[in-house]
Amino acid sequence: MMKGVWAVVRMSFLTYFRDRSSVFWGILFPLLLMGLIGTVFGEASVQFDVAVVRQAEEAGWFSDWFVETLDQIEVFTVWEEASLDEALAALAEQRASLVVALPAGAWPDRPGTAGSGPQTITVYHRPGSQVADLGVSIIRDVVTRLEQGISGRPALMTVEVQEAGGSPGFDMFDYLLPGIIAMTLMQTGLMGVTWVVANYREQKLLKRVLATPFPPGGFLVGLIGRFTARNLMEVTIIFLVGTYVFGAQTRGDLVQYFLICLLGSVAFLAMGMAISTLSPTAEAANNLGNVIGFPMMFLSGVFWPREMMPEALRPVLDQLPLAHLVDALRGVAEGTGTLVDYAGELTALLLWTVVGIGVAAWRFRWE
Amino acid sequence: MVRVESLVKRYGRVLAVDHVSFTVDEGEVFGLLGPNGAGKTTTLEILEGLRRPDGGRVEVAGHSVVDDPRAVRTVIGVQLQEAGFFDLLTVRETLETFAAFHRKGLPVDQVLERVGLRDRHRVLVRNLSGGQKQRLSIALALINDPRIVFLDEPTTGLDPQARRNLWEMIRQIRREGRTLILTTHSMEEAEALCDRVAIMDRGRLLALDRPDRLVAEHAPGAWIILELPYGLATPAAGLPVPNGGPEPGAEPLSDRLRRLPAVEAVSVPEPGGPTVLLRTRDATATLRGLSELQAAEGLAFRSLRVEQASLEDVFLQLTGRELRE
Repeated sequence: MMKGVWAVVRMSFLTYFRDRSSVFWGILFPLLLMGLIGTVFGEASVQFDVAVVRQAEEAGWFSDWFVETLDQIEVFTVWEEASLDEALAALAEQRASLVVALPAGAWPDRPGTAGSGPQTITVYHRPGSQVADLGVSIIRDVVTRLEQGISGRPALMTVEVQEAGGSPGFDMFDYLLPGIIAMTLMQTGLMGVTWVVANYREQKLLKRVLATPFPPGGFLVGLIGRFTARNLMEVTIIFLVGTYVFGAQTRGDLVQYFLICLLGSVAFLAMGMAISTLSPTAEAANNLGNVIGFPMMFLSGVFWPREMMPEALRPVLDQLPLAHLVDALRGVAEGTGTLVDYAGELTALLLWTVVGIGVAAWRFRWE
Repeated sequence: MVRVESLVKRYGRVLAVDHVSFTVDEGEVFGLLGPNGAGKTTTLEILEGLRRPDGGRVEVAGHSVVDDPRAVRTVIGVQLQEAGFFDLLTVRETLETFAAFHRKGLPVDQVLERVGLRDRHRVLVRNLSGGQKQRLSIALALINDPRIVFLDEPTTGLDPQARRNLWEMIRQIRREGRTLILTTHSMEEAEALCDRVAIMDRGRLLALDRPDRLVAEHAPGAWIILELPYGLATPAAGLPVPNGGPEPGAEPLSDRLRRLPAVEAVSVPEPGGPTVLLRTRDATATLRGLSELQAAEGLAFRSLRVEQASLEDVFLQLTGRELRE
C-alpha cells in the first residue's frame, strides 16, 4: 500500500518537472502575482503631490525656507505653480493632491523679529479625501516648527513617540500574506488539479490502475500527497518573497503556520479530487472547480475582512472552508491565536478532507 | 482456471453478453473471437473484475470476481485495448510505477528484456511507436508475474512484422506455463495462437472448440482456387464460359465445374477476371475430377491451389455474415 502511494507521488513529480508549463503556473505565476500585488500596494502607500503657490509679489526668504522644508519631507513631492488658479486646476485634475497657498501679506524680516500679526497659509484638498487630513496635519506641524524658529520661542511641550506594549501595528501587507497563501492552497485544490483524475479517466489510465490490486484510496492519497508537496514548496516561495521582498511580518509560531498550511492543502486537494471524480470530463471538472472556487475566493476574507460583507450572509460565509483556513492562518500569523484557539476551524477542514477523499474513493470509476 | 457460467451483462436494454458459459484450463491459450460489438471485450472486462456482471457466476483462479475482485487482480495480468500511459514517464518508470501497485512482481529489467524494450527503457512513453507501446502494454500485464494473462486485441493496428513479433511473445508467455485469454477479430490470429476458440456474435457464444475441430465440424473441406487458361474469361454474369460465348449444344464450363465430385459451390470473386473459387467437401475427389476434365478438354489451368477452410468460413457458416463487415 505505502509502496504504491509513494509510486504515485514519484510518478506525478516526474511528470510535473517534465512539464514546463506546470512549473510555470506553479511557481512563476504566484511570484508574478506577488510582484503585481506588491507594486499595487507600493503605490497605495501615502504620497502627496504638493503644489505651492507664492502669492507675494517678491519671493521672500520665508517662502524659500517653507518650500525647502516641505520638500525635505519624504512623502511630499513639491513643485511651484505660478498662480492659484493653475494650482487648483492641477488639484482638480488629480495631478496634485494638495495645494498650499502662501499669503500675499507682509512677512517678518528676520528670524527673531516679530511680525505684524498672524498670516494665513491656505491648504486646499479635494473633498472627501481621508488621506488629505494626514497631509494637512503634516503641513500644520511644519508651520508650527517654522514659527518657533522665527519667534525664537522654545517649545514648551514636545511629543515623543516610542514603541511599547508588544506588537507593532499589523499593516496591510501583513494582513494580506496569509490570505494570499490560503488562496493559493485553495486554488491548487479546486482549480489547479481538478482535471487530473477526470483526465486520467478519459485517457483510460484509471482503467489500468483499477486492473491492479492497488486500492483507489491509495491512488488518491498519493496524488494528494504529491500536490501537497508541491503546494508547500510554492507556499514557502510565496512566504519568503512576501516577507523579504514586500516586507510582510509574521509574528506567530511558524511551525503552527506550516501545520495549518499542510491541513489546508490536504483539505482543498481532497475536495478537488472529489470534484474531479464526480465530473464526467476534465473540462466539466475544471468548470465545477471554478464555479466553487472563484466566489469563495472573494467571499472568504482573503483580500478584505468578511465584516465588510452583508450581515445576513455572514453566518454562511463564516462556514466556508476557505474562511476557516484564512482565519486560522491569519490568527496564527498575527500571533493572536494558536492551533488550540482555532480547533473548530481546523476540525472543519479535517472533516472536509475526510468527506472529499471518501466521496472520491467511492465514486472512483474508470468510465 | 477460469469458470464462466451463464454470464449476463446488459447495457440498458441491450444484452451485451447473453448467457455465456465456458471454462479455461490452466496453461491454455483461449481465444474470444468475433466482430466488433460481439461482447468479447465486455466479457473480458468482467473476468478482470473491471465490470460487474448482471447475472451468472464467474470464477477466476478460484476467486469470484464479484465477491473478491482484489484477489482476482493479484493473480491476473491485464493488457488493455487503447488505454493510455503517463505520457511524461519513461518506459522504465512506467513499469516501476505499476509494479508498485502490485504486492509481488518480476524484476523490471527481466520484463523489459522479455518484451524487447531493453534499449528503449529511458525513452519517454509518448515518444514510443505504436508497436512499442503495445509491447509496453504487454509488459505491464506481466509485471506482477501473473498466472493468467488477459490480452484485449493485442495486435490491432500493428504492421505485419510487429504482429509476428507479438505472436512470438505470446507463445513465449504460454511456454512459461501461464494461462492466456485473448480477444481478437482476426481469424488468422486465433488459428495461429489459440488452443481453443470461442466464437462470439451479438453477445452469444456460437461455438467453442479447437480451431481445427471447429473447421471440421462447421466448415469441412477446402477451397480450390483456379486461374482459367488463356483465352477463357469469366463473364460479368459471374460464371466462366469459353471465349466467344457458349457453342451451341456445348455445356458451359461453369456447369461442368459444378458437376465435379464433392463441389458445393462455384464463385467468381472478380467478374471478368480469370479466378474461380470452388468450395469442396473433399478436395482430393474434386482434384481428381479436375485433372480428368483437363485431359478431356485439353485445358491447362494457369494455376491451381488448395486452401483449407478456415475459421473465417466457420464464422460465415454460423452467422451467415462475413467477419469483417
